[in-house]
Amino acid sequence: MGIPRKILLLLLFCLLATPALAKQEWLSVAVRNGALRQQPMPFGKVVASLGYGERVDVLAEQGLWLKVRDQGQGREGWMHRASLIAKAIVLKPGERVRAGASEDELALGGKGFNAQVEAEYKAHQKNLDYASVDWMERIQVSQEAMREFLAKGGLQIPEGGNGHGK
Amino acid sequence: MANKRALLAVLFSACCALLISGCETTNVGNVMDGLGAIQVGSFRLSESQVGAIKKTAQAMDKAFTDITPEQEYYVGRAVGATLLGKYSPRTEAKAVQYLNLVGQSLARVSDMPETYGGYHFVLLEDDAINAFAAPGGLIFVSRGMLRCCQDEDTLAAVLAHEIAHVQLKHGLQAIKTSRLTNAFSIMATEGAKQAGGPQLAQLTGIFEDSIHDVTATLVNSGYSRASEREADATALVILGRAGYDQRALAGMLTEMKKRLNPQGLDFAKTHPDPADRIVELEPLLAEAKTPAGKTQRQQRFKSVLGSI
Repeated sequence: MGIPRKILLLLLFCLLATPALAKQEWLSVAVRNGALRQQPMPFGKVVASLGYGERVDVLAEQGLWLKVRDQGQGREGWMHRASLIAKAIVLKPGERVRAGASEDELALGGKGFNAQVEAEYKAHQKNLDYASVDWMERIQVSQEAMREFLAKGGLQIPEGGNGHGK
Repeated sequence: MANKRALLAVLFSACCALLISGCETTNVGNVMDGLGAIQVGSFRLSESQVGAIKKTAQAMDKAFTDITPEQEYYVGRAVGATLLGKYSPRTEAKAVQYLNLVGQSLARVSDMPETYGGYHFVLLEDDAINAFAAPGGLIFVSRGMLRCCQDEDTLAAVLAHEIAHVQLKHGLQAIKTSRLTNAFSIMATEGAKQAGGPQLAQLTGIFEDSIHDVTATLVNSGYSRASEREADATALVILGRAGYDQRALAGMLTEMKKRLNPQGLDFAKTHPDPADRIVELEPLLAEAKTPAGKTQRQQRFKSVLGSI
């Protein structure tokens, strides 16, 4: 009697656990500057940049790329799957994004290791160089510089790329 | 007794579901949220039993996957601040720009083209052979490591290997699970929702220990052999997609083998013998093609970094 029950339960849980992404109507941007691209390609033209926690609806998918529309302004474009997460991100503690948001969702929002913890850590530690980290984070390469670099080095064709991830 | 067995089975299934599910796609916690009690045939799990299972499952889920991109970012910054407190960065604009162009051309074609704070690459004024990847995408390459690179493709091989460590979350995995479990239980308390208080001190303590776990692994003990193998294999994929010569990774390791002092406190201590890594790469390189443009890339490498 015990064994069939186990199997039944295992099946039940597998069934419940697998279709979560398909059922989820929206995804959250999991990066601070998520590039919304014209084409589903690594060097596709960036049409907009979406911020951490912004919600997008999924319109289509192609390999590792998802065609999305942001819920705020209705902008459309392609984002890499790895830059999106199937959870709500609450930016300020105490802010509730929708009625019935679970504790699990809230746990994502700004709690834990955050700027406040960093400030506290910085105050009590020696030999840390956060100024250089800030400098490092400001290093950017422009789209034009990238394009030129790839073309001159015989690397990926800027607009096309190989559209990998299929 | 039968009840207990069934409970274990449920727990086991929940764990299986957790293992099967990818971190970004599934959330057993949410799935179970809507359940309340579970009825299967004549067998019923009460709401509190479901709750208990849910808690256990969630604790596991959290420890493995619930470090948010934002938290990973703060861990990475602290690891970076520790490394930069030890080694000076090279700030010469031309070298910085070039290194970041090579790095970005790799990161963008990888399976994780963006991170919360983005990928940023820097050269360290250090003659030992070292390269570090802090969680979240801050990547450091020493002057000593740069000297193992004859051209842009070999430099790309070093950076691709470090990008792979970021994507595979090897740095985060160095943090002891118990620390994360503690952090998550503090975060779950009501008090943590307000700024300050004893929770902040507790969290900062855990943060400090976590940073220590990561930096000690990066600088002293190194990742497991399996992690290094995984990072090498991933690096090949990234190099291939970007249009770089995949064989450059083996080339770089050959040069490193020549320069590495086996008793050194750098890569000699934290990484498997380059010769062993080359042997493991060989089958993966059997079909590697020689891409075009290598000469042009070598020229610009020499002109920007040749004198360092």
